[in-house]
Amino acid sequence: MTEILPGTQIPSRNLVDTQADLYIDNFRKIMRSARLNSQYPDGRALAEHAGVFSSQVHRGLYKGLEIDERTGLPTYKEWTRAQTDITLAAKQIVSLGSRSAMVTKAAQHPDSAHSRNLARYDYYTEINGTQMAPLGSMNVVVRRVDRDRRLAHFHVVLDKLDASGVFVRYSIDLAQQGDAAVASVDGRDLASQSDNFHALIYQFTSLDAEFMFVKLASMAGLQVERVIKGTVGPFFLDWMQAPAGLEISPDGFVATFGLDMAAVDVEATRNNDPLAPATDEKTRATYAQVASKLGYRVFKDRKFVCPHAMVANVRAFAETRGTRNVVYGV
Amino acid sequence: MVYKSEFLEQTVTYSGDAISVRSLEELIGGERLRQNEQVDELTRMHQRNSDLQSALVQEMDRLRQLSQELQKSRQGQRNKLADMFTWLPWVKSSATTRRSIEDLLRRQFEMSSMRLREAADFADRLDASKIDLYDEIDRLNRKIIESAHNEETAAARVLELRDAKVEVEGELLLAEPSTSHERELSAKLDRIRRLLAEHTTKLKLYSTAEDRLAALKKNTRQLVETIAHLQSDITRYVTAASEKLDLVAGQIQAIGAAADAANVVLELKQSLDAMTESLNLTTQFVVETQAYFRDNVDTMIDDLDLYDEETELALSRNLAFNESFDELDVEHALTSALASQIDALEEFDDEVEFHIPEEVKST
Repeated sequence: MTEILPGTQIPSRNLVDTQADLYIDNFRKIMRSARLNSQYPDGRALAEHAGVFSSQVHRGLYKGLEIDERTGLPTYKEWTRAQTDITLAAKQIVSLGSRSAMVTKAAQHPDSAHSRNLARYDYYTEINGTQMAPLGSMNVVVRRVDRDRRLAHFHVVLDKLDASGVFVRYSIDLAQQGDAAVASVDGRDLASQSDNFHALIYQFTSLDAEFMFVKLASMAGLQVERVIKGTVGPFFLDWMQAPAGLEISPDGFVATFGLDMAAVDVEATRNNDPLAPATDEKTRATYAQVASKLGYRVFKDRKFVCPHAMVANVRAFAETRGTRNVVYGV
Repeated sequence: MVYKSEFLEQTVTYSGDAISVRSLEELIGGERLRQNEQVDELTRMHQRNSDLQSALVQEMDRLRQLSQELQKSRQGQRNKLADMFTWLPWVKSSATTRRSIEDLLRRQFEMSSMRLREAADFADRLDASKIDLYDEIDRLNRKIIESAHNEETAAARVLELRDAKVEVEGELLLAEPSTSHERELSAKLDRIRRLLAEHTTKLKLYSTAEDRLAALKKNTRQLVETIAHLQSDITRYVTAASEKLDLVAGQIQAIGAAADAANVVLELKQSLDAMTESLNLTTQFVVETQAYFRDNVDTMIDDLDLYDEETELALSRNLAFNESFDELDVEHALTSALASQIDALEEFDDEVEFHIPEEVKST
């Protein structure tokens, strides 16, 4: 396919028929088994959103499912397709009209626009009101306001399907002194987030929690307490390039869920993520200096979900990387 | 040949419902009503098609403009990227709003996808309407054929009755008046006249029905042709737009992130420049102060015994200097951390060959 800018085309593979349905079944099982808390992207919403991709739901209206080869997750195009259909469902059901008339016409004209419209009607009816995983949204909530010190404490949550292809949730606790860098607070202590702050967080989602902590702490008037980055993905499938030492059995998968935390209340800096990118010593030393001054510590972790038969392999892989991780079997 | 009573009692079977002036008017009225509804539906569809097409054209044009401006930005040319998002309802103004380009591109893409889905669904509705209208033509054709058959049946009966009437009239002329035979022939003639009137009316009604239904069918055929054109137009456009969106979909995030990365690099560079400048000034200040301390440290220590105001002042000054040196350490560490991240971003930047325009760098 033509590239608008060199290097921007996402490598993808199209799963069709039973392959696509098997993928969705596994995806939903994985999300149920992963036991994600509020620091991760909403697992239930992701599972529901992905359910729209099942051929039993879309009744053959779409051909296959495009998977991002970097992450093993459906591509942005697919998530947007489901989001569009869920958003339009109620309106389209009304415009399609009476189902009983469609049933009669579809019986008279199998394999025609009438049968497609009937399938579409049933599809829209089934997905209407389905919970969606946010592809890019930020919520700022005021935790408390100290009017004497002109200090407002916020809890910020940004959910995003990141450009790297994984789902990210950034949860940030910080205090803002004076001007509205993060958000403005009205008389009822409701926060109205600033565009600049939204853009700032949005742009840095591919970077780690520590960078986000330092970046925010360097902004005048902000006191950062905690930055947590929870990720869903990558999922390594049997046809994908897995990290060295991690073997994926035929028809198997290894789903990963990262947690990266920089906070003043973390007891000790520790890296328990076997997939965390290596940091060179110089950068590490620089970060250590900054961490010491700003008083935060970093904790990185990752949990895994894979078929029962692969659990031992995944644990062994973690051990070779010097970590001990939670591995759930499905 | 003398027509027997059996001939007159023969039942002529017409297909379909019994026809009368009233039933014909009702039939044609019903068909007209149905056609008027179809015309109304077509008018609505025409309007909807026009709305959808113009919305889709607008969305595609915006994506095209975005692509062009991104290309210009990449080539370091002057571009209007920052102004391009004011068309989004949630963007206040380009001057007051600083937003992530990735975010904006994605919102634009999601909006375009919505329009495309509506248009694609609409194309299927047009297709379904086309099928309905073809069904309608089939139904009208069946009625027309039925009317034509009935017309032929009625015509044949009328001819038979006319022949019978001529023959009975001839016989009647020869019959002895006031005889029972004459009376029978007279009764037969009345019966023939009655049947002739009935079947002649039917003949006229079926002939009228056939012509009027044929006229209605012509209108319906025009409707179906109009809808077919509409459907063909929108399908062509939807297909092209869908290809365009497919092309964009796989790249939009990376393009947005690349554009943002350029901004991020630029911002970090600016903040680094500012930090370096203040660092230089602070360093000079510290160096000069330390030189002063070194020159005067002996005197200061001697003076410590005095514990006078002058000593306290010197101590607090010293503390202030130490604090500023600590701050300097933090600033330095922050600078290094940010520089590492810039390195990482610049690597990404190189990968996508996204260059920061020189004139932007210098601002």
